[in-house]
Amino acid sequence: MTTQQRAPLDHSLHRNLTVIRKAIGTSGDIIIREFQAGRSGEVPAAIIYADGLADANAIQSMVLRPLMLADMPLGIGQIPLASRAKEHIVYIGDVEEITDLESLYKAFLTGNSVLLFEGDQTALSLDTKGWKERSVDEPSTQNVIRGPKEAFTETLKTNIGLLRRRIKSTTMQVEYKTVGRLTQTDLAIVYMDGIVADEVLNEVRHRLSLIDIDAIFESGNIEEFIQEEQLTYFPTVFNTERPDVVAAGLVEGRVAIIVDGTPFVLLVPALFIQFLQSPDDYYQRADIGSILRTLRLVALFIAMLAPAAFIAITSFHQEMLPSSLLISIAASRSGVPFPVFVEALIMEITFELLREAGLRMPKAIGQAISIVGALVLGEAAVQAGLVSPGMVIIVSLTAITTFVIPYSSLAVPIRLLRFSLMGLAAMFGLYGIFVGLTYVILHLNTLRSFGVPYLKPYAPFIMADQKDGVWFRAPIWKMLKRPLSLVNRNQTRQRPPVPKPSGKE
Amino acid sequence: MERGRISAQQLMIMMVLFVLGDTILVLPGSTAMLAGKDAWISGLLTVAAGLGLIWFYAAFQKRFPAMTLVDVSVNLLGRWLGGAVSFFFLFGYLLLLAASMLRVLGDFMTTHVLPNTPVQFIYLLFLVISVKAVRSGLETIARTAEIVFPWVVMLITLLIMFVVPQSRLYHIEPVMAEGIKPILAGMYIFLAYAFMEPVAFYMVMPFVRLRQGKGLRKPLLLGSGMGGLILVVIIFFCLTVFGPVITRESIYPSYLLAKKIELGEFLQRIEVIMAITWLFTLFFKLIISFYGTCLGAAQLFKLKDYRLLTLPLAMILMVLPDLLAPSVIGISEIGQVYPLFDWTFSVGLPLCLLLVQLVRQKMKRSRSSEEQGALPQKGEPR
Repeated sequence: MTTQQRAPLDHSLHRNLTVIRKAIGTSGDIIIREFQAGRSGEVPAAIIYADGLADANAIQSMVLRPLMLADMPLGIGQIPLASRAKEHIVYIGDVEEITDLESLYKAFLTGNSVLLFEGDQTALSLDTKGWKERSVDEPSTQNVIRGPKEAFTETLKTNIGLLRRRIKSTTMQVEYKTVGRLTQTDLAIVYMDGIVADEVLNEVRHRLSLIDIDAIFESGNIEEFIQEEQLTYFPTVFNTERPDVVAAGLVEGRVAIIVDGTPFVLLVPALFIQFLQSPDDYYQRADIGSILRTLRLVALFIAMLAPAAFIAITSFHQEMLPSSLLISIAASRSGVPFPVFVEALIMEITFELLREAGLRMPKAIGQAISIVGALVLGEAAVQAGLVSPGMVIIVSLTAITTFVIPYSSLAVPIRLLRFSLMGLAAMFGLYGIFVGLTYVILHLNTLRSFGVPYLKPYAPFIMADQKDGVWFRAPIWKMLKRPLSLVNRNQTRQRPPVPKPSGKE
Repeated sequence: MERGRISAQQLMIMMVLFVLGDTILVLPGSTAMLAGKDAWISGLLTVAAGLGLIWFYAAFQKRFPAMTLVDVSVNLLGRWLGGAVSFFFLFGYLLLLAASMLRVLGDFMTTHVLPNTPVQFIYLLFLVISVKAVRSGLETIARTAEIVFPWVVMLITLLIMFVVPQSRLYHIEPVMAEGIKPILAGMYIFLAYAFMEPVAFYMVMPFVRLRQGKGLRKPLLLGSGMGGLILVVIIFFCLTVFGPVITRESIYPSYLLAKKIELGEFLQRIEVIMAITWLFTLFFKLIISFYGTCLGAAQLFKLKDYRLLTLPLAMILMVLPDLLAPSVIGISEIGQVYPLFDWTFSVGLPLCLLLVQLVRQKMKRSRSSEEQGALPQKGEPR
């Protein structure tokens, strides 16, 4: 909508208020307070704000009080009262002049208060936002052993503040945007000027500008709009509630999208390896970090393949097992009425149900669920002869390894793929697993995140970026360059010589 | 047609995987059949000769930059003759190459890994991923090769490491007892399987993004040299572990080699995991030749998109392997003459095209010099 089409404000306070009252209808939370400004009450004025969004105390002491005590010049309509109030009277930092009804509505609906004067076509939007918000808390889903314990909150400005506190540079740029016709959700595009690749940034702006929907409630809604490929299990947009991860991403040349109303911030372009890199890999020593990454990679394969491999080996390739193991597996399966595949399917589905139930349960009942899960499904199912003990081990192994993957947006596709691979293994043994895995690799290679191939820096292989890969992290002082996968300019992260203790040659 | 571009490094990796292809599974046997215990020598000599051949491919491609073999033949021989030649190259060679990959896979799987599964399902599954790969385009194929390559190298290295203790050098002694003749015979088949079938890369090479001043020669030579050397090492260990007789008599000696892996009581009979290595190499040989067929056919028939052809050609590929030969015996019979087939298309065809181009250039030059010599007279029709 262009400015010409917007309805302008009128000179008359009364007429303005009538229009506004008509627009807000019966909404009791919008408060319109009419008063006489000036020491002797010579200027009729009105302030409009939303109860619950605006800080009533601030309005009283910073706006109403100075206005009522101020010396107001005589002669309404001769002096622009609004600009005088802005310059001399109100004690509010962020004040904007507005001249049309739409921005007036938006101002008081977002928590600002709007000040109108008789005889002035300009109104003031005063930043008096002050609603109840959750304080900055510990991250609830992405925990680390070592590292900052702060997480984002639901408030956009707080979140940007958390980033600013980490990157004290003028090159960190913040662009605001509003999406959602009804929700008018604010979002911010944050990036490092001079590092970010222009193509990526322009692509982010372009894709966001195409969103035209009534409501946006979470960054997940935005994610679905801006991701490249819709028909995939795999996430091509990264999300995190940790400000340190976002700050590190920005410095590497990524673009962050912060959506008001959710602590989950989006980071693009997202590469596959990112979902396997936990922030504490960088905060612990490099060798420990590397070992943990390798462990995580192993966990990824176990989580995806363990039941499928068990099915394939026990039903097609028994020769791969040592005889003694084979005999004990056969003995433990002797009373089980189902084929291995059905047995595995029952157990895996039961576990997925338990997990989902545990997630939704009130905390007090959660414990009961875990007892039911452990006892009923572990002990009783084996004793009843429904499943074999070996299968219980395999299923619990996949359950544990699934939680080793640090970001749940990758854990979900792995869980889903597990079932397809189990089916393939039941039909074709290891050949089926080979076909399934090849298909997954091919699929991953067709994906791109904002133009960047998803499996970078492994495919296409980039030697320099192997320093921060999926199973290895070089010491910080060895990482002289920013990831070449993401940026093609301003690549220098640090310059040698690296710091060494003095006195040593 | 193909908008993707691959890097020289990716070309090299694809070349390694292609050279290994089905060859890694069947070549030790067929080379040992002809060269006996000196098969490894003929392997070494073949790598040297093969590099010469690859050098020729690179030189040919350099003469016709950014053109596939189909483009070149249509350009040189005209729409009809060139079209016919390309047609034979695509459907008489590349598609058959892809089909023979499937046949090797099917025979191997039904005899060694999944004896009770109908071979059609094995073909079907493999074709599903092949079609997916070809439809996703050359870039995806190249990137997938990059992901798979380290695993293949790692598994082959493990295989060799584990069988080193069981290799006995007396199996290959005395060296060159039978003279040079069997060695040359072994070379004939090795050269054809490992270094002539990469002629499929004529459909890929135009899409390589080259840095300024860099040629195709280096990645091609590196890739095929590496692949060839791996083959020689495998042949060497097949011979030293089993001796020439067992190597010659078995159809899949390197699979037999993997069966020999034994680490204590626990790690044994892991040949199926090793089999996955050659499933990958075979897969790449198949999709590159299949891709070449689809792309070439689309160029030949002036289609906008080669992806249209993937499904129909895959349906043909579904039945073609069984039409190649009636039985495993038939396959080995064909194996005797197949190298000649390779010679025709990988050496014969490019040489002929090169010759045509040289003759044409010469004719054009002599004509233009004639024109310069004798100025056309006024009013004379040109």
